[in-house]
Amino acid sequence: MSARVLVLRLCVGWLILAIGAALLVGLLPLPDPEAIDLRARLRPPVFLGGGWAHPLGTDELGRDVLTRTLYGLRLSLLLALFGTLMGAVVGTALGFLASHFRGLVDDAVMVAIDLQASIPFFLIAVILVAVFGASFPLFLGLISLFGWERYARLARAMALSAEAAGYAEALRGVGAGPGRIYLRHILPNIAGPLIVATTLNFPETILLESSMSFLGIGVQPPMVSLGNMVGYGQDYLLTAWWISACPAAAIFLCTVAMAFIGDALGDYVGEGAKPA
Amino acid sequence: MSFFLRKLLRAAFSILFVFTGIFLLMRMAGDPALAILGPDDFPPAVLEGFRASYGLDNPLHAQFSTYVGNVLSGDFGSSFLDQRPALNIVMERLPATLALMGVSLVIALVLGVPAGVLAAIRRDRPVDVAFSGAAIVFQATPNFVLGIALLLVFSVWLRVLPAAGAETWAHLALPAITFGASNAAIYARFCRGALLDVLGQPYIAAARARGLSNRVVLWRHALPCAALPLLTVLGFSIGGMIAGSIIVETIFAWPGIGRLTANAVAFRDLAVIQVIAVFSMTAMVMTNLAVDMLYGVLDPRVRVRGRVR
Repeated sequence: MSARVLVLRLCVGWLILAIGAALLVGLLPLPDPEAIDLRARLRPPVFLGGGWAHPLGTDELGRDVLTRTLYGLRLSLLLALFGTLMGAVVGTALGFLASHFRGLVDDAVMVAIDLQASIPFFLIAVILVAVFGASFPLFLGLISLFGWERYARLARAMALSAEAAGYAEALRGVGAGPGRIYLRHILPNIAGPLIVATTLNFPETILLESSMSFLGIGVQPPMVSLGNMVGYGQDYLLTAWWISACPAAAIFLCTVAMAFIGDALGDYVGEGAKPA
Repeated sequence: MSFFLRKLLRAAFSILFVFTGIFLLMRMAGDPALAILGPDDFPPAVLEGFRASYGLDNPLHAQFSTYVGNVLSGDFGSSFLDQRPALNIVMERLPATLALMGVSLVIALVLGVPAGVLAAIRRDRPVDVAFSGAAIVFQATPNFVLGIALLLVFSVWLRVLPAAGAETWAHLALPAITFGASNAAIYARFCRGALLDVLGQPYIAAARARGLSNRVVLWRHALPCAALPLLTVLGFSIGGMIAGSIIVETIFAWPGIGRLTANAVAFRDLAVIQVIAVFSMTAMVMTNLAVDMLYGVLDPRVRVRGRVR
């Protein structure tokens, strides 16, 4: 077994563990993530002399870091899943519109794609939050728009070539409408690369979500996300580094595992060797 | 239409689009009269007078041309926080950000390019597996996770590097390594891919068939061609650093534009945000334009069929 296969298996194993833990966190015998215990605040993890009552220690209000990390992981994964799916829907729809109408619509979509691709989404998100104030609906909207240009570019290019492939023409000949042709015939045919794009987009959405939450403009307390835990834990790096380090490690392991899996999938589908 | 003119027009259009977008956004942020004077303390006549004195009662297109005029003459209004001109506040922070980005870019190129080249010419050997794996890890690590980890190891545990501030050059080390590492990973992956593409071309096989040594093939025939697409990544990573500086400068309390942005967002200091938005987006459009132009100069094929991707 080569090192690459071993790494890949570890990544898949970790992701299964993380997703399982995030799904089942409500059923596990853990303290409440909001339960404040001021007598047990800033307790170290068990391997540094803490007790088994709080295996990864407690934060400045005595809340259990392990429980909060798992709840944060659940919210981060859910948001990333939501964002990735919404981005795929919006982007693919725009790509299909461009391919179907051509002409001005196509030009407008292409200009928007190029502009979006040249300006980091994070910067746009920060500016929008500054203008409208941090709110959960705006945050959800930003998360779900993220990455649209990648899907739009892909869907447009592939729909254009599918249009030329003959089967779309044949369907039109037998009287199928554009909705039926695009959704029932072209979409399944181009689904493979679109799915590879979602595996690239998913960790990037986690990154966007956690970066915004870290800055305090994403998920707001009392909701727990990995990013805002790292953010408020930063104030306690000197005395209680585990508050930041545990959620940071969770983010790190998840995004790295997904990157390795995405890379392998990309090689498999033949889109490899093209970062970013 | 010539290649260069087309690129120039596109950049001009993009900048106009960005200006319009920012102008509309600022108008959508709410009635400036209410925002500045407060909601209920003033009779309507005062509000009207305020709007008239700032030209807010003019039609939108008239306001827009005034706005563009103001922006072009460097008048962005004053910060809500300390009443100084927003442009000055941003300009004071520019050197710190440029220093950080410059040093990070050097780190990224010095580490990333050789690693990528080495991985490509030793493809699928242990060196390649190790370097490519490391590149994936560093590219996937969020800036703030790497930053916190470096802070913890070098400032809290080993106590060898300062954690926050900008008094000495040592303060630059951690933020620059944070940026440098993630960008080095991008360069390494890209260089490896680009070089492998080139090495698979028929003219490389032809050069080998002529009996040229591996060294000559690599340095004279492969590397110059593989270096060209690096321009694209350069433009891309500069944009990424402008956005990433918001996080990295906040972690290390580096007094640049990124930290200013985070502050301005927290206090909703719209005048400052506006300057930052106009400048950073214009900078990105300009970077892209420069990359496109350089491409056109260096690779004549591009002038005909658009940028190679």
